[in-house]
Amino acid sequence: MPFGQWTLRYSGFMSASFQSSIGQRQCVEPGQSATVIHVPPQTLDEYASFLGTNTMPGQWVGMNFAYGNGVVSANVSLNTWNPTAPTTYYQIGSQLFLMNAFLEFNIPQIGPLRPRVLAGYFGSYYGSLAEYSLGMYTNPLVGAARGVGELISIEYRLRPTLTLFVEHGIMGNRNGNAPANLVPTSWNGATSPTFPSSWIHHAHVILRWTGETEVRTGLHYLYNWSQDDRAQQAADNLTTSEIHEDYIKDGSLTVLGWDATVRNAAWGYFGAGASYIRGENAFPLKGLNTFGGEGNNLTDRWWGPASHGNGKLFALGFNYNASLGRMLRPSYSSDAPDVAINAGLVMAYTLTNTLTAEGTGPATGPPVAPSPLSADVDLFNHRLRYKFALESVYTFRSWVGVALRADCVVPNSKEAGETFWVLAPRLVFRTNWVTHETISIIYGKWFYGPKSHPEASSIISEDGRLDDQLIAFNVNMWW
Amino acid sequence: MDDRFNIRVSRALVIVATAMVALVRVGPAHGQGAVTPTPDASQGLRFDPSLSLDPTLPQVGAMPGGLTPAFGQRSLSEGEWRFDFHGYLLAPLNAGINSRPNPGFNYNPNLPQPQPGQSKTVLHSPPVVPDDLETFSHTGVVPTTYVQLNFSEGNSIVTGNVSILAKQANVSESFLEPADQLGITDVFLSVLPPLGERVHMQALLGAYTLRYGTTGEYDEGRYGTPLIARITGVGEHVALKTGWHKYTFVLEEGVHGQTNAASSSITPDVSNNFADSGSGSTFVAHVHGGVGYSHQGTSVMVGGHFMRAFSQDDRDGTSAPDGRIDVYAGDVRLNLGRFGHFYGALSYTDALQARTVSRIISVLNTQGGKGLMDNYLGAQSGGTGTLLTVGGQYDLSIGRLVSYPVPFSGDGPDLFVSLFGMQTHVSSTDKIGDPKTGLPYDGVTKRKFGVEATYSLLSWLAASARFDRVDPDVDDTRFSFSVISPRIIFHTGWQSTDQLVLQYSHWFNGGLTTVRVGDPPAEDITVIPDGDMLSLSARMWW
Repeated sequence: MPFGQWTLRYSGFMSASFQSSIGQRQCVEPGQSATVIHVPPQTLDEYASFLGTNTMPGQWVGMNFAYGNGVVSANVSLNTWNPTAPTTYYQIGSQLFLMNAFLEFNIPQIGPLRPRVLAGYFGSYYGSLAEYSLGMYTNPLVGAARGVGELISIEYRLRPTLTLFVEHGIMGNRNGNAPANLVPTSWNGATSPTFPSSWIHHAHVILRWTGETEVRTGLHYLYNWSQDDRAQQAADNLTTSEIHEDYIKDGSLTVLGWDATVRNAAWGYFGAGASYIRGENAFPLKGLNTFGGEGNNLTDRWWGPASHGNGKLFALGFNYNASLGRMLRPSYSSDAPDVAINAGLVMAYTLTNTLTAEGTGPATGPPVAPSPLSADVDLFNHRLRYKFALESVYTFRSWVGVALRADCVVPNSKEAGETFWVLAPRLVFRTNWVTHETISIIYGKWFYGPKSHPEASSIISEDGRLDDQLIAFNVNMWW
Repeated sequence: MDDRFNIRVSRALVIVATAMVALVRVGPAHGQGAVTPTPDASQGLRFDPSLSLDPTLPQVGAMPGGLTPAFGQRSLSEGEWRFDFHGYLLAPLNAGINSRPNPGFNYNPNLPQPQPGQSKTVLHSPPVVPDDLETFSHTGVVPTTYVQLNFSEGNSIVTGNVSILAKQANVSESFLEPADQLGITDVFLSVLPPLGERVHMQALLGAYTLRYGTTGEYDEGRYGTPLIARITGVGEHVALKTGWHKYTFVLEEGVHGQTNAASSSITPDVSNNFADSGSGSTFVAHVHGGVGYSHQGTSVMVGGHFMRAFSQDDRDGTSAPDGRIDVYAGDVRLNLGRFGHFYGALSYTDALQARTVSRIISVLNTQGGKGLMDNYLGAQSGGTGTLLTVGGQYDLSIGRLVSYPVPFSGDGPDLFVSLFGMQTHVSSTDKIGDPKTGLPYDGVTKRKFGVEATYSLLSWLAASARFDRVDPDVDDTRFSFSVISPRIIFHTGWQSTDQLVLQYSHWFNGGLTTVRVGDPPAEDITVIPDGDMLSLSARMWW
């Protein structure tokens, strides 16, 4: 925004998808077709889960409004993950309405220092492996701090081609502790009074070399913790094995991360990163979205409900985007046929110390002290998960291209039968070589393993069947 | 009583209209243009002539008088990316007037009514009148809250459109109705590829609402009811237009789906807009063709329409048969220059086991197959039956007519007259009828018609009157009712984009005129409807 002139800026992103999966009816009655069509799709593609491949773009709208001048601006964003027009019932919570509201201060340079401050409701993401996105997969490799608070970033030019960035932020989670008599329902996002108010403290050091090849690398520290006595309840809820409601310990999540990106006009963009996540009684923590999610997701999906949020997770990954046109022709200017290649891999390894429940043992014998689960019973400890994808997009006209993406997902190193593949060809239309939108027609085929199953959702039908084909039509635009 | 009253009212309207014509004739000379803004093809998202209504236009009935909002302007260059913001708001204060005791509401029959401390006259908001949107009785006389904000960004070829919609304003709510804050509702791309002078193409891609059979020239008409159908979903719609001499040929097609489906574990209530787990994943495929002819500022467009909404889903109950709703329709739209605008349509809806068809399709403002059953076919029909609907609307600006050949731009006194009506004949396998009201489903013919006249006296003042007659069953006038609604309209200029409307309405209800009360609204034969209503509504569009 120009200095001294107050202006309104509007930017945003939209993605709208028509998706339906195709399956077969098990018992066909008169008046019923054998082929059934499901919306929402009944395939193994859960958002934000490790099983998700991001093969099929979903719904998302972000409308960002900023008003200000070159020094200060007020920023507000309106968001939704399910626009109302194509819904058949009101899905409460899908309309996020005013999601971000913050001030951005671009403080005039102080000597060699250039400070920038964000204050208010916002999120900051670390571990993005692609130039304009998180990469082939949607989980940030290091983490994302979301809530209300501040972020101070100082830029210091060490040399003409070398810049140091130091960032520090403190945030609180937005909801805090829910009132004690709140009943978790879909109305309130299943918020439980047993979730304490949580806090995030994070610091980052980033170095950037500029030149023909730009290299950027950073070290990250994020710490999410709670110390709130209001979450504890009078009695334990025996249906929630992740936490003892009558004895809620202070929880913490520590994330140490590293990432690096290399950008070259000819050779493309390469990103790599790794993170180490350690949780202690982390189940009820909110606000810090790690590679494995927030505290409850880490507990349920990575360390096991019996871990109570105690465990370690190691994650690493890389992502690579390149254009053959740029590689082969230095004069290439994006307004000619091209083949783009995208590749990505993420893997994660878990360590937990899951103990048997107190008193487990023969009914006739004395109570047995808690002890580690045996390896054949513990599904989570020493489990390696990885997935990788390769995608190629051939744009042969200014208005059309073809693409093919293949994914392999290995959810469990202990059970090869859970491994599955996804193959997704698509046609991509646009209004020019370089433009702001794409229109895609996508077909997806899932090749399930004999023991493939969803991780933590109800996407499958009551009889446990999954559809293995999906047809989608997606439009998206950014401005 | 009703017939004699109608004759008296009709005569009175004729006399008033004649007097107003005389006043228009002595009005001053007027400026350039027409009363109704007629945007060219480069403006907004309009694609004239078109068989459907622009998705960015509000989903509300016509405004009082002959005003038609014109929204936005498309970028004229591929290199110029333009941000555009336009919208519409309607904020009414409505008060229905009735008297105690009303047997439809709780009171002690052993005590005299009203009791001490209670007035005999009662005020209701929202008014308890037969104007539920989903029923045939809906006239649109009662204004309802509606706010729509349209944001777009694009160039002459592609535009991204996002709209935010609300049907209640939180500040005036007495309780929270989450589903009335629709939030981000429409999300779509409009693509106009440059195919040369001979062929014009527009593709709408994403999530939006299409309306076919809208009786107004640029709005949903006086009833706010598309005579053919409304499709609300995510998908694609392509319209192709080409011309030969004075003829224009239009071809449209589309495929639409939904993005969510209610599972059996969801409890229908106000928070989820009464989610219906009995409907399955539903898709709509539709195709339309039209031929237009234009000559010396007048044009005619004749169109044919076919839609099929179908569901084949095993999650809505293993015993539920596949359902479908087919709609066949033909329509004609006449732009007669100074002689006004006429639209007429004939629509045939054929539903087969349509209970599982979701709300993605709306026939006569009902919600999917279940809505069709609740309002027309009956619960015992299983969703099988037919509707034959015919309707139309004629709008005429007397000022434009009498000022010919001098162009009239609406910047002077004018009398605007609108005639409108529709009729639906229902055939259903439900031979029992509505157990609450006794209204039959099978073989019933429903009819409604009305007239509205608006005289613009001054740049800031207009007077208007509307008369409506509704016969939910033409063979049983006990269900019938009439409404007369005089109005005073204030605005800030001849061609301003705002209105402040002060309206009084009186209902002449029959002995069995029923209203819907409760949440979800349901017929209650014991409730005596409000006979009068006062309304003060503010509107603006930009």
